Amino acid sequence: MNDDNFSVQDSFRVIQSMIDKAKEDFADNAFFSLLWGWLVFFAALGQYILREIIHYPHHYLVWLLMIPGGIISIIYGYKFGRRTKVKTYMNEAMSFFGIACGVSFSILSLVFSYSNAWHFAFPVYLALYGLCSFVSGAILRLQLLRWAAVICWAIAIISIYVGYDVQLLLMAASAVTAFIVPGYVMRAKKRKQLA
Amino acid sequence: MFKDLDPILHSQLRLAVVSLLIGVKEAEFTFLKEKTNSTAGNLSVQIQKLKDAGYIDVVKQFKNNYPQTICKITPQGISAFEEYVKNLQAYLGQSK
Repeated sequence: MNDDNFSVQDSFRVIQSMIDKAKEDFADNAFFSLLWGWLVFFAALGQYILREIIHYPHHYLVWLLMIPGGIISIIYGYKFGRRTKVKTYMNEAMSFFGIACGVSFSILSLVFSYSNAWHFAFPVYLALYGLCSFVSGAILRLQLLRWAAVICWAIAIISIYVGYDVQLLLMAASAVTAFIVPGYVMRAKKRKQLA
Repeated sequence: MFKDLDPILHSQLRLAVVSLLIGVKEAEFTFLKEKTNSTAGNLSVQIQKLKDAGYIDVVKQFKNNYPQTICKITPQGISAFEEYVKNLQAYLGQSK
């Protein structure tokens, strides 16, 4: 097609096809969702098993899994940033929001470590989980994440009234709701987009 | 025909470039080349025309010792694109 017989319909086709092509390069946000979902799931469930079934005194050490998680996230984010040929506002918003969530969770971990108020740690983490999920859902326009946030907030309220052992199981359940299920949905959506 | 349509944008490759840039913050030359399926030479010429019209900003830099060209739509480019789409819609409305 040359520009002499470039029609109005052709213009619309070009605009539509290019906007669709730009969408293909959105970051694989599912990676972070699945990484943190599975890490929190295994850590919470692991601590429950070590504490309640095996009665291991240093059951809390499973949460050290979060350190390699943080390192993997930084490396993946850095590599994706170098590899990507396009910067979208959505990717930029997600990466800044991811950093803000990571910093907030790290500071809260320090606060709870020093204050030894572990009974209140999970309700606060769950509320923050809900916040991360809700805002991510708004940025990625994924309604499922916003519903997952509502579930997290409900679990956060429930967890105030239950023992630490049940809180661990609720934490594992919220990891499935807020990160693992939406992560697989996002991955399936991206694969469908690329097909 | 189409005398009201912006001649800078009413060209297949230039319109493709602006349509790609409208939804992103910035994009590399190689990204535009890959998505528009054009040759480097033709794309360079069209990018220069868009730059001369003030529709896009072009930054040339080095990344890992390789030259890198980054393109970004300007506010003027956004207005021109919006006006172009509005005119296209008007044409479609007339032809119905």
